[in-house]
Amino acid sequence: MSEPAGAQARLAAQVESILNGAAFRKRDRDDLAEELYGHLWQRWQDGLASGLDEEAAADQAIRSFGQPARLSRDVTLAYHSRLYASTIGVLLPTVVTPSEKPRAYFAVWLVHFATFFAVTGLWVRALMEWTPVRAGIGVAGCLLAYLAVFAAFAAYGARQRWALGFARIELPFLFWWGALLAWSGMAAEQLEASVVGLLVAFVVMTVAQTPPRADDSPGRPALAAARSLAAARSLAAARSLAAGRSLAAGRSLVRVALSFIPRDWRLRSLSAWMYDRPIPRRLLAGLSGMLIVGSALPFVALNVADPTQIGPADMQVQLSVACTTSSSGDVSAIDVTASFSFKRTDLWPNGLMRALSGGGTTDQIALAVEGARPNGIPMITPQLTQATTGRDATDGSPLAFAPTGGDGMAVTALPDSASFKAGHHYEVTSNYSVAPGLRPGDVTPITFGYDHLERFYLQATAGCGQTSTAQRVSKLYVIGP
Amino acid sequence: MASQISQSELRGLVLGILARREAYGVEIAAALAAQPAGEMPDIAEGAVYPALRWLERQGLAVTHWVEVGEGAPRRRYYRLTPRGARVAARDGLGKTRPQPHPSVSAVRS
Repeated sequence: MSEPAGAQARLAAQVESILNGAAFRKRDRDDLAEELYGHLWQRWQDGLASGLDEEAAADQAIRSFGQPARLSRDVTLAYHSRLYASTIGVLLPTVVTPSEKPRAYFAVWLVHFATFFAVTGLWVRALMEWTPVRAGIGVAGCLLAYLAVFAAFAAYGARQRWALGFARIELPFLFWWGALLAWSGMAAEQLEASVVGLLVAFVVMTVAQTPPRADDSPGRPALAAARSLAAARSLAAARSLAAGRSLAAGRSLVRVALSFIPRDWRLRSLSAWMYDRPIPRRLLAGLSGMLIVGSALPFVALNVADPTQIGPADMQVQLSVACTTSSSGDVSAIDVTASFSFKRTDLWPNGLMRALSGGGTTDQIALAVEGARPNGIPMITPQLTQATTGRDATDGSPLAFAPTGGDGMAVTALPDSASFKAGHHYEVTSNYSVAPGLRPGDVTPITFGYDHLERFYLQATAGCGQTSTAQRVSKLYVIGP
Repeated sequence: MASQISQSELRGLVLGILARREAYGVEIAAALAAQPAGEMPDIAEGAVYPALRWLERQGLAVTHWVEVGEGAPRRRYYRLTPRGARVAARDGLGKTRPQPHPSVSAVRS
């Protein structure tokens, strides 16, 4: 279709107006445009033939063709259901975005991308690393937010002005998201998931045909990636600052958040470049709610007690200490035995990723003597040798674990708790040979601590010849490796 | 001119016109407008195109472009597929003047 002029330009603009408000297959656009323009053109010719001037003939052709908004909806309904037409079809019409864009375009694009990136990173992490119920809540929340952000991201690529307004909601979202990450100490752990998120985001972004587009210059995607990474790094720097919880850190966070806001005059120019069409208020409110509630759910999930994970009541731990004396009356050996059993075991305690990769040594057993020494290294002194063994006392099989202590440290890492069997009794015994000179009365009570994935702690203390049942404590005085 | 007809009714009308002969959009709009006043609801001319596109997407019609002349846009002609013809025949469309027929909305590809 050649570039029309004058009254014909009005006909072409009418066609554009109809198609820009409709959602349909992008590859059908040229055919539809030519067909609709052909109709208007022929009616325009009819008007001219009847004696009307060019403008009056164009007016008549346009008027009889119908209201653009109604026709846009009808075109959408030719491709999609009524539900789609009244929701996604309104939010995401099929619009061609020219390669030439206003200067502020990319700045706001970054806001959408950063939000998309943040949400993607979190749901990937939740899915891979969190326990099942927490992952379920977290992923569900992320998906809610994800859908809203994805819609805004795609709509922005389709020059929809509502997506510009949505970016203003995303800015404070990004601000408190970063602050919350820093506050919860998740920033460093977020890194791996963020890399995965980056890749996923680019794939989805390409599918959504938002910029960078295939018809853009080859360097544009690279530039987009570089700028996004730069923005992510500055956010990470702000997060590390915020870990100090200083006023300066707060100001840094605000500056980072504000840096995403384009200059006002540019934004107005960008706004004029976007298409504006009526979007139901309830639809926009729903999208905003999806973003806010959805992004808050993962943080709620982290504080939810996951019923698929065991608690202190699901296991029993006993400590028994036996001291052997030599003919001189000195203590020559100390045998410390921790026996424990599970009523049930954890389901994917370290998330799907660890479950698929075979779990890992994450539980810890720590043995210590010399009484309560908060923050001190657990030691048995004067110690000559130490050997630790473990077994499943129910079926006699050996218990796989690796002693990690040395030189008196008695910290033992157990296999993933999911690898234990409910109802079985397990024993871990440490045999210490002691240098001459330690009298039985000088042996301080031995403390045994059990750390269950840092979720709960059990601790027992017993002296020579004693047995003790472990009780829940809020914090082990024995520090792990 | 506001459209006062449902999508399914309009699709039935357009199917009926195409059951008689192949046609392009302007002809179909003209055929609808030519109905006696009072028997047919007001239909915006542009409304025939979503209906035509729906028939094509459902496999009831196929299209081809026809060059008209220098300076004039091409015309896109529609004709029914065998399946479209069967649906039209089943519903009694095209034998008389166009009548609204909502049953076309039940057609699924």
